[in-house]
Amino acid sequence: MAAKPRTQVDILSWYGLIIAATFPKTIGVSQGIIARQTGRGIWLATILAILLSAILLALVTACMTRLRTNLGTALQRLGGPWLARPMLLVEALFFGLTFLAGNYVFIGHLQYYFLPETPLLFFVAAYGSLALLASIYGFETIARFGIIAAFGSFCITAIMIPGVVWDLDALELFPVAELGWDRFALASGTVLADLVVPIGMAVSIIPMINKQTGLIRHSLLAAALSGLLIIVWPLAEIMLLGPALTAKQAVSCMTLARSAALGVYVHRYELIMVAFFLPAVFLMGALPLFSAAKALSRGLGLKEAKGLFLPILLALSAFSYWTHSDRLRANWFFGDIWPPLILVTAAVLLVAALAAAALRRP
Amino acid sequence: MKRGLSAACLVLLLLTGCWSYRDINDLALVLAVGIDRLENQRILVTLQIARPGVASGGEGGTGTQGGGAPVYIAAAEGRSVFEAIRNISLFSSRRIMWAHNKIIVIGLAQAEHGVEEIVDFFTRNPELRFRTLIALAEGDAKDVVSAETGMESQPAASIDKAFRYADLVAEAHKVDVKEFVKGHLDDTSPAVLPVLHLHEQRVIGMASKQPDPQAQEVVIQGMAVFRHGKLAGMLDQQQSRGVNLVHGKAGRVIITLPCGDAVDKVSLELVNQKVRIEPAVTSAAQPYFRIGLMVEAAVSSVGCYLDYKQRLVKQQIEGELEASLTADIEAALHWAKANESDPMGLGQHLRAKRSAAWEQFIEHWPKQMSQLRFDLQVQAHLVGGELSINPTATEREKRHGR
Repeated sequence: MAAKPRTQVDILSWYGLIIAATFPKTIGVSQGIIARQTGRGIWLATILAILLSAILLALVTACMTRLRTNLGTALQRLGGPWLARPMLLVEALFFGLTFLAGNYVFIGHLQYYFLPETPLLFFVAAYGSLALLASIYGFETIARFGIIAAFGSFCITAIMIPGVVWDLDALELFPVAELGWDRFALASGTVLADLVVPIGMAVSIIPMINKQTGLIRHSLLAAALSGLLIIVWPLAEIMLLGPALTAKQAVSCMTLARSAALGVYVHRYELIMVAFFLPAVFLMGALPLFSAAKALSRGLGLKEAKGLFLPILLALSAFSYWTHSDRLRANWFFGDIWPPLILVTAAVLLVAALAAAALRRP
Repeated sequence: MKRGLSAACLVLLLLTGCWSYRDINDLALVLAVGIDRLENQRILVTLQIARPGVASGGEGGTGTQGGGAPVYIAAAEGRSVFEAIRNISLFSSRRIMWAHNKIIVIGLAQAEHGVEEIVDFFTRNPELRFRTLIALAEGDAKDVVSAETGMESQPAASIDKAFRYADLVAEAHKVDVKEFVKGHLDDTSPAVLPVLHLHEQRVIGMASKQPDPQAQEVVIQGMAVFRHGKLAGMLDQQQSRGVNLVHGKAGRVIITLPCGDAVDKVSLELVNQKVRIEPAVTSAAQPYFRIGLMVEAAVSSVGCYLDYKQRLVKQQIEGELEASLTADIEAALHWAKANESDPMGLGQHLRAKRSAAWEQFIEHWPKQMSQLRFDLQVQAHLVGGELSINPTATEREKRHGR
């Protein structure tokens, strides 16, 4: 029987982490990207991606509960360090990419819409500092923060709906594949890239969950809750803004939030929405930084991960700064390069988990 | 290290106001903007800017800025919208801020020339909101923006609030930047704008102030329809009402019908309306729409003896209401056919509900409107008479009927 890991997280935190890690990028930045790809079918493309990601998450959860340890350790037992180390490097790359996405969401919302004259360096530094601080506090702190982040995601959705519901036009929803089914499939794949983040989390976090019974059901339920929160946004965006305007926007959920008004007197409350939104965005920085350092340290055969927090953060922040110093470059990277990269790394992790679970020694 | 980093993060949070801060005393809060195209093809931007000190101090002003008008009108020219706005900085002592802009008014000449640049500018600017109202001026936008109109201290606030109640006459509906840009980007239904006219002042004056014979009031009347970013035509009041009825945006519109002799009228207020549009394609590959409108109306005022509790009288009023609404909608549909335009967004229904058939129309949609076939059914129900159960009538009128 595998030894219990020192770090323990509860099941509620697992729910929080799944919701908070998928919500921020999927609802806005990605919806603009997929609106440019497929037009008004973004809502159905998102639903399909949610369903597929839930199945994949259930699959990887089943593998990890069978392995009863994290993927690196399982591969180490199975094939030694030469099998485990490359996979841990892939895991580190996966979390590095997730960190970059979180930074993109942070900059896209705060700099583009609220503080356009503030230097980019400030946003990169602020995001990195908070991620570093959370990583130093440790995984349990990050996991508990996931609950707050998920609650914030729920709140922002709950206050957005009444602000736009009277202006929604259901005629905008159809036809779903007006630009062709190939582009629709591409769009669904682009959203799936955001929703596979829990797969990477599962291979390292599931063994740390204090109750291992019924985890597949819990993972599926968390994916369903996350999906329910997410799907409201593309539906509202397409019914309020239409496909062309959604596609035109840098961050379509911000445009939606800025278009919300409760009656005549309560409007311009996007700052309240963003306040609820930011915990999840910070989680997208803290969790990947911690997990990337952990995976890289084990991949390089180091005993401590703490020493890697700063070097990894500096490398990722430098890349982030370079990407965002030209908004067209950022748009290109996160629209064309990031989705296939994260999908490939997630697929590698998933296949490794499946293989490890199938070949597990009794 | 934890403490140091925690302190650094706390400092970052506390210093958020230090970057990109703008002191409110240094801001020129734009309330309305007018955009005109001049004969020399330059663009004239006219801004109505709030003077908060005067506005908050009421008439005469008690604020720090002294007396005078509660708004400041500034205008500048440029080769582009942005250049014209930047040129205002040549003489403005404050930085222009758009976040509180209530309305964008496009001049007729600019609308005829094209609104591409305006759409582009106002969708790029992070300060501007998609809920900002947008309208077309019957003439020059600068005249509308600089007119002293309405009951509010700031004229832009008056126009903004007038739009809030514009559905009572349904001769134009409120259009915000989001709706206009959506129409501009979508080939299916064109962008439409309410039209602002300048009429001689209808407010006679205040007790303490003599009316200004030169002053003009901004009046919302009619709609303008755009095609490919240019003004394609104007709808008159009846046609606009027809468009709004089909859109379901007529709100609590008042319909006035004859009663008794031709002079006396009965006024009905629509209290509920439902629109059902069923698109189809005829065997001759022509678009065909079944338009069903169901309205509920209440009697608001009657100028003659009319016992609308009697079934026959009620049916007669309902019949007249149906005929009036049918005439409005038919006027709009005929305008759409004649102008090969789709201000009612019928194409959206065809696209959403008959997407396979839509493929054959997608390239030539607005032109297909000239082939439009429709079946219009209007059903009206009289559901009451506000607070009065019985018609207002003297004993003599009751004895002798009309």
